[in-house]
Amino acid sequence: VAIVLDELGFDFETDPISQFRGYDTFASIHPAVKPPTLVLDDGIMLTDSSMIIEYARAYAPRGDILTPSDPARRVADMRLTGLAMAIYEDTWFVMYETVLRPEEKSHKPWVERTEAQLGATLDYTEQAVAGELDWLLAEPLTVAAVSLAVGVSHRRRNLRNLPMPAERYPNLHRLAETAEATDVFRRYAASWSSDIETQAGIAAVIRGRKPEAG
Amino acid sequence: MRLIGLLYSPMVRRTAIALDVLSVPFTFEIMSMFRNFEQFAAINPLVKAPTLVTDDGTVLMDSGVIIDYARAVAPDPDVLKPRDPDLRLLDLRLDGLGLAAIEITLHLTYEVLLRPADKQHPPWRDRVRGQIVDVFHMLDRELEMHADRLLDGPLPLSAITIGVIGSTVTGLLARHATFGELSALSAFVERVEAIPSFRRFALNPSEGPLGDGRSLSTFIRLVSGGEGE
Repeated sequence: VAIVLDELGFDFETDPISQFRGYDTFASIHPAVKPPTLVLDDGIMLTDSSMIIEYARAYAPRGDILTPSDPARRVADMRLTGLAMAIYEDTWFVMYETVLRPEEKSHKPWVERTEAQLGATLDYTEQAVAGELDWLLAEPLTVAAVSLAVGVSHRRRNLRNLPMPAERYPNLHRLAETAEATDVFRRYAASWSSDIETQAGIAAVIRGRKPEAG
Repeated sequence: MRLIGLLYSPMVRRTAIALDVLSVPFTFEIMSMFRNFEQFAAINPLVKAPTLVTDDGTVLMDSGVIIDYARAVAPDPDVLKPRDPDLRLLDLRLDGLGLAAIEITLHLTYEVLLRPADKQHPPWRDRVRGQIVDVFHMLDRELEMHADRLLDGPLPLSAITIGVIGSTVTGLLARHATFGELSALSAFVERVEAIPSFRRFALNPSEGPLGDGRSLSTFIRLVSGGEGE
């Protein structure tokens, strides 16, 4: 969402509050505690990345420059955005079983099912982006390109024990690495320290402590 | 076009009703991600509900993506999205809240319904239970103020999202979290469930979560790796 807002020419600040470690702080801003949350200048708050992106496209200072002008490509962009959402969802499910809870609370049939599902999603997406990389990697990056690159990077960083080999996923690796090297991605780089912050927050939740004290 | 999934899933029902309101011609195919896994995977290897197969065979997934696509091919793309700027912003804001409510409801479903009791993680479960109550009370307060505005003119997407998740929690999940009184939400659910598009894609409790009349406990057993009945 940050990258898309930037590409669309919005002037905004980012406030890094963790939904785990900073639960109470987040809840004091918005009780739904659902990142990303956008606070508009008049105090109105929007949650959910698709709603924020829809708002941003409708009110972009320079107009919606991210929607491809070719109708077939517009559908392709929607289709690939749906695949990116599937990567987020499947990554979340695996994290839910393996990272967000103590090992003895992990439910084996779910672990197997979710890991297999994530693998199938990545295989399918790898094929779906083959032949589309030229336009996907042209700047400004479309919503699908941003979503896929962020999804692949997030999956690689957060599920380190589950390899995602470059030989099997050359297109997804190229997409993520090329996008991560652009200026706009570097402005919102997911830093190592933010990973540690997230993991410390998650660890506090897993230990059953009140997150804020962690 | 073919839309695939179970109306038991709030995201599937939201999508079906939205497509109906948009007057986009489509057929709805009842298919469970669990019971019909192989059949589902043959259409969409990712087995995500809802799945839309367009007339030229393109497979789309994610409720938001499918609705965006349907708006692009609909006779009037402005249906579901109010033209008035204030109402438009209200719609975006409440739709985001409705989606947050769906997401947290899914978390509760995964933690409480779909895993054996000894695999539940109490700190997480309590967090999710607390959060779900907060989110639904927030929705209730919003509806106290804005329900009439949402339902005065053409149906905005947020009314569908909130109506669908409101029906789910007042039915399936009522036993699993103490929601307290949600009078504005309950009244809202009653009003939207009377709308023709809601009735065409009505939740039929006798279908059960598998779409074939088998019970919630069977669903839970199947999903958590058992054989069911």
